[in-house]
Amino acid sequence: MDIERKRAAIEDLELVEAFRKDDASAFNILVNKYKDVVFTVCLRYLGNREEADDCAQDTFVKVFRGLKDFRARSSFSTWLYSIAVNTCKNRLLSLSHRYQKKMARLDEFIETDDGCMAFEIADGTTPPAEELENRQQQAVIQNAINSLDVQQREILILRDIEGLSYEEIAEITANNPGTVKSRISRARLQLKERLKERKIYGM
Amino acid sequence: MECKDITALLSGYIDETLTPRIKEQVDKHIAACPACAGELSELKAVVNRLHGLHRVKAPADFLQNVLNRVEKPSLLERIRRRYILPLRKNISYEIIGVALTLAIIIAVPELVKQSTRETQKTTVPQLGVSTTRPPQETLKKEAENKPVINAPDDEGAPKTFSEEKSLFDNSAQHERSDAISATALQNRKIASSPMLPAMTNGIEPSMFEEINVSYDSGRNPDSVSREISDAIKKLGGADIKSEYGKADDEPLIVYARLPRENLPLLYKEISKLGTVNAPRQTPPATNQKTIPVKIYLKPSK
Repeated sequence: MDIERKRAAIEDLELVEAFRKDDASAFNILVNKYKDVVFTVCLRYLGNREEADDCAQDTFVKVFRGLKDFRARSSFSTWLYSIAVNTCKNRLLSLSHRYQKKMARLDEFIETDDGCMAFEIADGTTPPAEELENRQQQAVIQNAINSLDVQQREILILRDIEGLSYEEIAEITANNPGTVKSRISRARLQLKERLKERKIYGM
Repeated sequence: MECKDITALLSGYIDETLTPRIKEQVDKHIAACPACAGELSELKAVVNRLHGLHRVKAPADFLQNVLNRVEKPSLLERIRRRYILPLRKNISYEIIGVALTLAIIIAVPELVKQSTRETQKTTVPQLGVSTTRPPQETLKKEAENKPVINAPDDEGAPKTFSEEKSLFDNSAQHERSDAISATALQNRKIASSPMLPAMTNGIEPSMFEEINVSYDSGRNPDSVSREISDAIKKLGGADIKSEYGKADDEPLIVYARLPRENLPLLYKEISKLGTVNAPRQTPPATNQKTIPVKIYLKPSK
């Protein structure tokens, strides 16, 4: 783990300790520290902002409820990631029918110009043409991610979007590193094929 | 090495997890094979695209939403607060849980009987614009012995429970609509249910005309509630009771019965003491001579 990560991990454990000593603000700090991470993971996982918001909030509620019992056998962030992906996975499993319909919508987004803009965040300003192009690409990628099966999607999010190590991913997904390695390989190859099918893979 | 073997190794190559010996073999093959070299660079491009995806920001009010969810009491706790606490008895959760289960067990055969018996159509009364009114009317009709079935009638003036629910636009109402849908089919049982607080005289709580008042936080709540009592008496009201919420931010509640036609006047009087939401201009359309009211008093921040 590099220095930044180490420092973040130490800070997390201090916050967990503070929370255990009934410092409620420690939880707020943790939420603010990781909310973008969790939201991103959920959004990439589910492909829909409302669902992502819902799952992200649920994730932190579970963190709150479980924090006193958190034993630091793994790092806080590993624990957080596993709650997030499990929450998302369960959501997908229970809503798979509705989800199929949402996938069709995203496809439609790709065809129209403004659909793509709506997908990524607007910070209020109108982005320059280059940025628009970029966002369109991002929507294409997201759409391709959505076409993967749950396991592949999850592993790509953890590895190539979140940049976690094989060991961390092994912990989060409760697999051994060998399995993680081969899943990453298959997921990447699959994504490459999906993007090729859509004729754009950002060369 | 064959091309198909190489494909499986490309990912490891990119992540530098290959052993030096294997890596060397891959390098050799790629140097001589444009197809595989192309595959490798395509795969690298895909990985880079993924790396390039923005960190997406969570919505602005995210922390607040999380905190609200964390503090929202469970269904059992909400039932406890509304029905059991006013009794001022210490009834444990287990007993509430058991009582609920028994009520459901008893109710289900009743419901089955009812649904096979009732085949006549009913018109569901038009629900008013005010968000505090709707449930009372459907339940009142039931009390007058007309079966209430929320099915669309032929004129297409439907109010299914989900549509009713969408009329409620604050969280307090939202919680109540769950209680309504849970109890609506058991209407005949409500009046005699032992679970209801004596305070509300056997009325299902959400049948009340609910009034939310925000008073100047510098004022003494007792004096505010006394003034409200006086106003109610002046308008011919009776059965006035008040109750304090348990937590600091839970409102003081005043219960009373008021002649129907004086309801708008009550709103006027209360408006002199604080800010009232959605004051009623006309009396409610109902056959009842008196209306039960429930006034929530909260200090304004």
